[in-house]
Amino acid sequence: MKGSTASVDSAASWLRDSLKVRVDDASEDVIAAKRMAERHWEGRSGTAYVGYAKEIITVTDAHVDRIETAAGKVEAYSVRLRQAKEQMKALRDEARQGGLDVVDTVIQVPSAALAPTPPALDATDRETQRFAHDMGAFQAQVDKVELYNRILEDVEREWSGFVAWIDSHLKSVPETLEAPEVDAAANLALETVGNLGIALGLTLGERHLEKKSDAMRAQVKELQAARRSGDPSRRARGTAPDTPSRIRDLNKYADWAGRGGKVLGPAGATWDTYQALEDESPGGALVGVGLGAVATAVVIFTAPVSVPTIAVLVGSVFVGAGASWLVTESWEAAPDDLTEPVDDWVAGQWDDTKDVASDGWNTVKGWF
Amino acid sequence: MTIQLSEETEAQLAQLHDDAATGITGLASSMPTSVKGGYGTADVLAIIAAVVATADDLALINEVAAAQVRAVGQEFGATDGDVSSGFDALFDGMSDGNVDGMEMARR
Repeated sequence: MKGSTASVDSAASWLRDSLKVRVDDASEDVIAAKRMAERHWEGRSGTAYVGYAKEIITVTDAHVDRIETAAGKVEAYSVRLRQAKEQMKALRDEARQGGLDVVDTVIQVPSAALAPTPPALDATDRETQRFAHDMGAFQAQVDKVELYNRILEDVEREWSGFVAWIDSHLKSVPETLEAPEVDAAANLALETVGNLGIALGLTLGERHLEKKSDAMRAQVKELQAARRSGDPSRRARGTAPDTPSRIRDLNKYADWAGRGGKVLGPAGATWDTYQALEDESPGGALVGVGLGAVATAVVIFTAPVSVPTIAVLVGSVFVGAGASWLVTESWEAAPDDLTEPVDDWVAGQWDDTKDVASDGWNTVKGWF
Repeated sequence: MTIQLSEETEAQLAQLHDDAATGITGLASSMPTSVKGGYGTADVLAIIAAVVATADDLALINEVAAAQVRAVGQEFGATDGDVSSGFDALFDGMSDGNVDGMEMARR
């Protein structure tokens, strides 16, 4: 979330405390001139001048109102930017407290949660204790993955809301502040002076403010073009690094990860486990997903009820794609009277837990 | 008809318009040329640019007014009728173009 609220506040202050004050002062100057002319300039020319001065006062006062509107809009943006930055900071703090690594303002993707291989039936006490310890570490890592996924969703929601706010509160403002009639009057005045052969003053001829305004508009075009550009280097100038499009890219990677990639490893690979459980032969598919039938079954079916279902799903992922394929092939080759009872049992267990899983799963599958 | 405008009044009127113009244009050096506003920077700059451009137009209008008043004193206008028609033309130009804009601004 790039941007400095102090910088935005400074711009708003300049509009209200400098530009608005000076334009208001200019109106007062012309009011004073009009009153003086009313008293000391007689004849048709005096009357014409007073009429002209009144018109200058009217358009100047109208512009004071526009500047106040502009300052208010910029201030409102500062408030919204501050809210967004605070929300992002809160999410970073939550990530740190949850054990995720945060480098500068970027929450790092947690590594995959790998379930430990269960001990053999004749395992020693030490081996059993080690397994329990490793299961604890595994659960902790699963918690990190879940936290990361939830924070990623929160980041996207916050960012989308921030961009939507800009679209609805700022985008149309410049158009409402334009005063083409004043621009036309200025051009007419300039033309009239030219016709009279009056030399322009130094200030008038240089028009510093207009040049700066034009330069600013050029910046606006550049920034707007950068937002739309597909060129990463240009886009980097026009958007914050964590834009919705980038987050959507991450989701795309997550989809890819679910098919063997590593970017969002555990979250992505969860999909494979889900598919395995929905498979016609879920027992064999689960074996394929895990490194061994016992390990996978233990992870899924020995998990305490208190363990979130999504954690159980993630726990079955620890995948080696090659081993998975080999085991699945072997399962298919095995006699049906050996594999079918296992499939039936796994399918039954899965059906029982699916309802419980659905709520947790729904929070995750949106990312695929 | 001759123009009834003393040199003193003419000078004061011109100075008031000059003050109005330079008061605005004098802000050029302090005007923010960039804002670190994050994603909304372009929109903030567009808002500032919009009101600055009009402010500059107002400065120009005042400087022209000052120049015209001085021109009267230097007999550029020659007669009262010539001078009044010059201001009337400017007045009409502004009135014709800005009625809608003024009403919108007041809303």
